[in-house]
Amino acid sequence: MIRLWRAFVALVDQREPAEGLALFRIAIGLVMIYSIASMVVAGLDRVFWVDAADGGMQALGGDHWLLTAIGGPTAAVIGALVPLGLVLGALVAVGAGGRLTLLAAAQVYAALVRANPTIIGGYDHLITNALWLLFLGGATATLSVDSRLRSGHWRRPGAMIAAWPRYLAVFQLLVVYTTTGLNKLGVPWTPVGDFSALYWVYQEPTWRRFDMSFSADPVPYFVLQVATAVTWFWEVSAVLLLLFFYYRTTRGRSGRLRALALRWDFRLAFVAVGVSLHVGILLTLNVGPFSWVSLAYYLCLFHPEELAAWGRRPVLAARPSP
Amino acid sequence: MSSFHRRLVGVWPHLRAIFVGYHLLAVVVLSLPSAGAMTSESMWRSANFKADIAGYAGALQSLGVEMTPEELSTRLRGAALSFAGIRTAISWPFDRYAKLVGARQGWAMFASPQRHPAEVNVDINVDGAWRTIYRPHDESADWRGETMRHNRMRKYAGRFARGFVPKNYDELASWLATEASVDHPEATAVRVRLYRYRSLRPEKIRGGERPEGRYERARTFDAAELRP
Repeated sequence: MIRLWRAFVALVDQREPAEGLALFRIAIGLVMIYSIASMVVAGLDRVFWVDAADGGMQALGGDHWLLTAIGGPTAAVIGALVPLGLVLGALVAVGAGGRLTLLAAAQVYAALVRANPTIIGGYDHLITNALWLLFLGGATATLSVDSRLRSGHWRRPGAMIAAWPRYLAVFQLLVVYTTTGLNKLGVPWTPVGDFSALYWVYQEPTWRRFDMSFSADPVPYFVLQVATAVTWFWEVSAVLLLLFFYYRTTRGRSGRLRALALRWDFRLAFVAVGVSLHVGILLTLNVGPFSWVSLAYYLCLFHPEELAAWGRRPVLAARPSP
Repeated sequence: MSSFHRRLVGVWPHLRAIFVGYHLLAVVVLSLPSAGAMTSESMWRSANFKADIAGYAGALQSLGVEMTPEELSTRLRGAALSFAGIRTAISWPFDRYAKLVGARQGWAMFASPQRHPAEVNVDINVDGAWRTIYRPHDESADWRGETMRHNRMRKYAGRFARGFVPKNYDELASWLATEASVDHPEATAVRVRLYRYRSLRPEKIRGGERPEGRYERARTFDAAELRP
């Protein structure tokens, strides 16, 4: 037990180049801007986030401490939080203001979306979780305005940060997929329901972008059956990717699975399926920035040196990547 | 360096590891289905959920396990209540942390695809005749299309098929009616309804059938009263 704890402490003690978390930060900042701006463009910020007494659609209370502290979801409060959220999203993306900006962005975004809990989506949770991890990691160390001001370089040479916030982002992503898979208990996700789940998703009007009645034709229906089975299996088994990271971290030990993990980069298969799934969602369904924020987390699956190598040449370097 | 500072430096890696472990546990525990989600009355009453139960009961029967959908539902409900109690008990050490820092979880996405959709329709009455101005995926009735197609509006309107909450529906209906009466000064009345139907199996669509349903939950408003 003591040995296990020491190994865990050592893992949490690891440091790595700051570029990985910086790229994640940039992506999350952009997604945050998109999420808020899309509400403004559609004219829904004052409809959904403002209380009915002040011109909104619903009687709202809001259940976030910041929102409560500054007077609740009134027109004036939301009218201030929306532009503040957009500015903070931009500051997150450009990396200005250090940890304070990241913490403020997380709280302001949460205050906005918690104004109306009936329309909160999984992507909102992914955004606030990411901002918290970026705050913990001090993600403005490089590729940032902060870096430029402190060192004179946009990309500060040799900037190192703790690696565990990135590990937590990976863990968060894998838990999201596995638990969403385990939640898929509806009959259509199973052989009992003919693996018809995606077909039914495309028949109802809520999320689809356009008429998908052609999916009843034999070939598209079969493709959707295969996609349903692959999606469910891939989601439920996502957490097993942790084994891959474990085997690569303990490469000195023996074992067939470890040898397999050292020979094959299972992340690439995982990412290939995940990107296909999210591109499919983006093309056919309107579920907001869910796919974008999920794909932003994918950056954390790779060691910053791998991302740097990828930037230099379009082939991922094979190296240990906890 | 003071002795306190030296001691802090020594213990810091352990404190940090404890925090990381706590966060990992929070993510796992809070990702379990919440008590509210599992015991929701409207979910257990929904046509979708009943169809799922019937499907599993049929599968059990084909395996030789005699169990009606009602019996299976009762058993599952008991299990869900027990699990909800455990979930509530083990999540309390993490609830406040997750709410404070924004580390909330909850990932039940497309858990059971909707097979009994309910579309929001908006009609206006002009010169005594009703005309539909909004219906999802209908180019001839696309009033406020950009607003209605936003993912948060889709989420809000999509809820009425899964679990109908009168307060939410009435608030939406009232808001839509007010906006429609302003945008259509010629209207004397505005009506908001749900069009509920059952999605068809692929072989029926291939055979040329189209879903047919019924209108329900009609809310009618005097347009003149709604105008500012």
